[in-house]
Amino acid sequence: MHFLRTVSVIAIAAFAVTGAAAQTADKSADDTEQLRITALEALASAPPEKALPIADKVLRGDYSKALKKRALFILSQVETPEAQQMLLDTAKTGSEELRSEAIRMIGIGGDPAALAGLKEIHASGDADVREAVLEAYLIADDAESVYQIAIDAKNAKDEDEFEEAVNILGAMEARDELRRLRDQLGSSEELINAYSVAGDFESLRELAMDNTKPEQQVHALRGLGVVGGERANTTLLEIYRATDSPDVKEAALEGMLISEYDEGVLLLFRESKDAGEKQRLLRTLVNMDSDAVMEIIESTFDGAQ
Amino acid sequence: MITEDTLLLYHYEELTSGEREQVRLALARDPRLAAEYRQLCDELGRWRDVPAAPVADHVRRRWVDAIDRAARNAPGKVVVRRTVPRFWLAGLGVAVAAAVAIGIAIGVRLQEQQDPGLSSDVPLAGIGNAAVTAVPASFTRGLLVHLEDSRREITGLPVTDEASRVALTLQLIEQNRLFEHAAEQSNAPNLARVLRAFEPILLRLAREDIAPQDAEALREQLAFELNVMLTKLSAAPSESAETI
Repeated sequence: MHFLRTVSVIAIAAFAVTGAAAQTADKSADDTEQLRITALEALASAPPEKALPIADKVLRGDYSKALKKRALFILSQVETPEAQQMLLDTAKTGSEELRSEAIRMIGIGGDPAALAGLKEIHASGDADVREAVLEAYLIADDAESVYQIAIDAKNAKDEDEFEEAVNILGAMEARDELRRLRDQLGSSEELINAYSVAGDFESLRELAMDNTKPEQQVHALRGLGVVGGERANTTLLEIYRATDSPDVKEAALEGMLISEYDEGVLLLFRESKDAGEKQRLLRTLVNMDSDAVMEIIESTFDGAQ
Repeated sequence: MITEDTLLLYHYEELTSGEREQVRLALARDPRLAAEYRQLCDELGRWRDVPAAPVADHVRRRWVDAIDRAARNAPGKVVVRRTVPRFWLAGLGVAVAAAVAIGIAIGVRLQEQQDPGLSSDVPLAGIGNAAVTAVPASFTRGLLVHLEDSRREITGLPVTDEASRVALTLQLIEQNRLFEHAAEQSNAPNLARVLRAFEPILLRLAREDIAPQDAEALREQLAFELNVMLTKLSAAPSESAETI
């Protein structure tokens, strides 16, 4: 505990330095700023009753934006309602730059009440604030809130925000929420991309097998390539063999290329009796840097194929 | 142990005199090895006897290209995997996404590498958190090293050298993501959130069009946050649960 008292004393002393120090030479000002930053760092080990007043003082005082941002990070690490309220207040009424940073810190803190407070901030905020709120939900792993933003954006016909929210859900691997979006709003290119990023094999397989919507099918086949793995590879192979559509065949092949499934392409090469198709498959293998290429080259000149 | 590769090098006189002597002695002592070597010589002799067929230039170019590609993908090289890199890939350019993906699969089994014999759980929570969560000590130690390395890299990040900045930042993102996953699996959501929050900052730093002063500001903020986390984690075993 002695260490903690020392830290607090150092921090208080650092912020007791008056404005006079800042008016001296640049070097001195830099030194003062550095001392204050170091003091804030040390606050990470201090109890909340010591850390909060200093952070509050920095946020309210005539200190640099850089210092205020650091104080916000300290607050994110203080798990008390007071600290979270200070972050929310800054997120609502701070300067533009500090608002975004405070929102990020609410995400880091992960406090449910503070996260709930972001809804109001999102609703009334400009594009930067709204983006910061989405990012905070991502940091806090709050997929339900992102889902709600996606639904609201769709209802408000704000396609940009819908796409951003869907991308975030993909990045969060929030498969349930993405499936709920498809159930409610139907499929879209944005959703298919998000399924790929989220690794949702089942949804992509379903879309890739549906030949009533060729464009969607093509996107889903590429998405399966991004997901990769045995199940995705087998599906790509099955669809390639089953379809007569050149576009679908090409997309399935692209999927195999993305997935680096050279064994599948080699299998198709060996199965094919069509010279044009064999050429396409061989080119794909070359593009994939497949070891099988040399084998094919040798056997081609042996006349074995 | 004399391998086939060594025998091949012996045949083509590519070994040092000492190595040649070792192989010669082994061949004299080991009839099976000697038989293997004879077989290898026979096979090589058969290849030598095959008349060389003229090869068209365009075919030769493709062979050379294929061999070059094979060499680039030789074992030991880092290969791009696609199965893991999902987090944050949304919204990234293809080049950045591919670069972020590099090597991620290599270190995913972070926890498996940790020695279970070393683990003694330590309490870890935020300042003033009453609900103390047990986090494996081995994870905490690994994270400390990661944060320290990241802090050093960030501090020395060449802000004005764009290519180096982007490359180094992408490396940091890969490593950071590994620890973020490990934090989730180690019952440390607080740490997972902090690590997750580093990533957008790192991605901004990796942008090629960022102004040097903006990059500098981001770098300094990130270095501060890393320092704070280092302070917290370092204090964890010796301080009370309420303080960290």
